[in-house]
Amino acid sequence: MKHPLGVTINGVPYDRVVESRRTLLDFLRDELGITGPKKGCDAGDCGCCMVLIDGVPMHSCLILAAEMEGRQVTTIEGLARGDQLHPVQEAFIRCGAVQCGFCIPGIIITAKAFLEEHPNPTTDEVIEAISGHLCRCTGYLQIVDAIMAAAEAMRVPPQHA
Amino acid sequence: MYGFDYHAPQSLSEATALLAQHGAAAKPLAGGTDLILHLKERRLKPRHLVDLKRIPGLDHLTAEGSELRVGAVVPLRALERAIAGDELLQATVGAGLRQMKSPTLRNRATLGGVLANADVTADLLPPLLALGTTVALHGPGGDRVLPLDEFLLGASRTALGAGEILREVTIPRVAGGRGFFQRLGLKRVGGPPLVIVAGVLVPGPEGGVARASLVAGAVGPRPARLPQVEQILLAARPAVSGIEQAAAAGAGEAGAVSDLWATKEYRQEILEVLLRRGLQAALGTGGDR
Repeated sequence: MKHPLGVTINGVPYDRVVESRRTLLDFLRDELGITGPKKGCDAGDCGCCMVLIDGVPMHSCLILAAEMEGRQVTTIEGLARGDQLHPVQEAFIRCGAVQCGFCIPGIIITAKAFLEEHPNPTTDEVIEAISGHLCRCTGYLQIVDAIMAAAEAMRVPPQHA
Repeated sequence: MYGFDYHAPQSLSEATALLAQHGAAAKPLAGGTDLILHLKERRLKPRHLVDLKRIPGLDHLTAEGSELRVGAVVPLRALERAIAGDELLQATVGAGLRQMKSPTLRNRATLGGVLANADVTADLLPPLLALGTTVALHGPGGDRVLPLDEFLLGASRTALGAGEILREVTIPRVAGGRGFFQRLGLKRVGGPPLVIVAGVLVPGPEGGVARASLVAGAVGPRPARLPQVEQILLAARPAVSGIEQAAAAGAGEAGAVSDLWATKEYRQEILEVLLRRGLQAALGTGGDR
């Protein structure tokens, strides 16, 4: 069965037709070429496919594209403002938190939403928040450091407009 | 993924009509974190998915008065937030919730989905059963309310009839109650639970308890009340003097079984320890950790 689908992705409205069984992840990657969300386990364990749906982090591999009618989806591609990376992205680069990089787009998505709700987290809270993510490089220490650094950067208001 | 037709009904009657029409070939879809995975792994092959999330009146969460009413498609994360300020619900439901899946999956997974899937080892079930949770069902024949205990028939089996939908979950707030949740899993976080025990106790006169409700999960074929434990605690004055005897009785009456993860004897021994710890915590004696 095919469904008309109206969905906004990274601020851009799309009107498409999708198959019932198409996952949101496959729709983003294979039909729209938005490849920031990665297909790791395809089972909700690794978190590489994390996107924001109406601002909330969700595993796009376990969601049907057809369920997204009228929703706002944000992927890693939607975080930067022009050339200005999001503070979480900046912190990941600064802290050397990216090794192979496969898990990073998903973790940054989760970290962004988490830090907006918890501007002053403890490392234990950060570890809990990203527990739905796996990093095969096992670079967790730098990832947690980067999220803590991003929290600080987001607490300090920018010096220029 | 297995081929199916996705439906997004706009009303309860439309949804029940679709489910009744397609019978066993249709499955209701809430968060989908279990169902869509089952479809990918071809453990389930429904021809029709009926999405409940567009139906008005299934996403409410009201925490007023003596009970918490939770619509079937409310995400687990929203429930976690709603009980943040309630000590008893935190100690029971909150502790069980934090063991369910991962925080990001809890943004999507729903309370109705967890119950309708009848995963009998789910960490959330013993706390909900100990509190006396009920479920409201809506079907072609009208509405009915069942205790959660009667709704859960066994592994992946519920009392849902043809065309029936789990509409709302009601969690009582037990006035003056003290609760606990204890579990041992294969891993510190996640992984299958080997033993879960949850309890709700209401203090009574002479240091006793006026009400005791204890439920063990993941030890037998389904979560089970522990009536002998409850009787021992209700009779003990003060209640703390009955803890040792109650914990020993619980190990025997929980119907523990052996499986891939643990033997019956191991489960019984762990259950005794977890019961003792939980009762000590709830009755305020501190004690061994």
